[in-house]
Amino acid sequence: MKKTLGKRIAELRKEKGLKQDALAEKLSVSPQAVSKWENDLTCPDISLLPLLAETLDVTVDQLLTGNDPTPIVQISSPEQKKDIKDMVLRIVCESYKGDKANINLPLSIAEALLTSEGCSLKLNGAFCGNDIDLKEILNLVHHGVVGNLMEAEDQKGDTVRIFVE
Amino acid sequence: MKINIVSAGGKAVRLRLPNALALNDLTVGLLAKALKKRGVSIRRKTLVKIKRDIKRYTRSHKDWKWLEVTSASGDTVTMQF
Repeated sequence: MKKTLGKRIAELRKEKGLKQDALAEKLSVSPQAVSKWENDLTCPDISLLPLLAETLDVTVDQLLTGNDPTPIVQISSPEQKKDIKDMVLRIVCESYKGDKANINLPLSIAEALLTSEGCSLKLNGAFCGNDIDLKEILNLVHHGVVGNLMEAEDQKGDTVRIFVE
Repeated sequence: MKINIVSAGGKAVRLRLPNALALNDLTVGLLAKALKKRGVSIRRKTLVKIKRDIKRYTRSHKDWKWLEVTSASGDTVTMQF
């Protein structure tokens, strides 16, 4: 079931830790207008979309369609490299039947699990992710590689995407 | 900790547990023992670090969805702290 624009706005606003009043102030609209958008009673004006998307840290396309971002791979220089504590490992598994699982794990937790003795973090099941070595992915991140690090699809159409933000 | 299970028909089960109850030294100890029984020898120190990181993230990202599973028929399970 696809989320409505209002639900997406509400969800993104909460993720950013903003109240309706604060979002309204940033967009120079009334809090009631934001409330109406979120309850799908009205839609934001088209001229507000770029600013709304920017405030919610998404693209206009993501805001309107709800499609997952597909960030390109970036290699950060040691100076630009973010602290590992501020990074997130996202694993998105989709089966050809339409089942979908999103795992959003702070990288520090993923690292703790992967580096702990006798412990492994593996993508098991009937997915094409069985042989993915997450330790190698973590190594890449330590070398400053971020973005859409891996996409795998098997013959049936099951997919696994891993990205680090 | 919030676990929301919502069926495609709209029926929902919402489990709410205070984070202090879900994430504390006692639960860390119990988890370490349970994992050991299942052959996962994760150290208590590591679990304490994970607990601390979860708490830190929970403070800065209040509506962070740690896990979101959606079935083809529209049933969803989400987990938040």
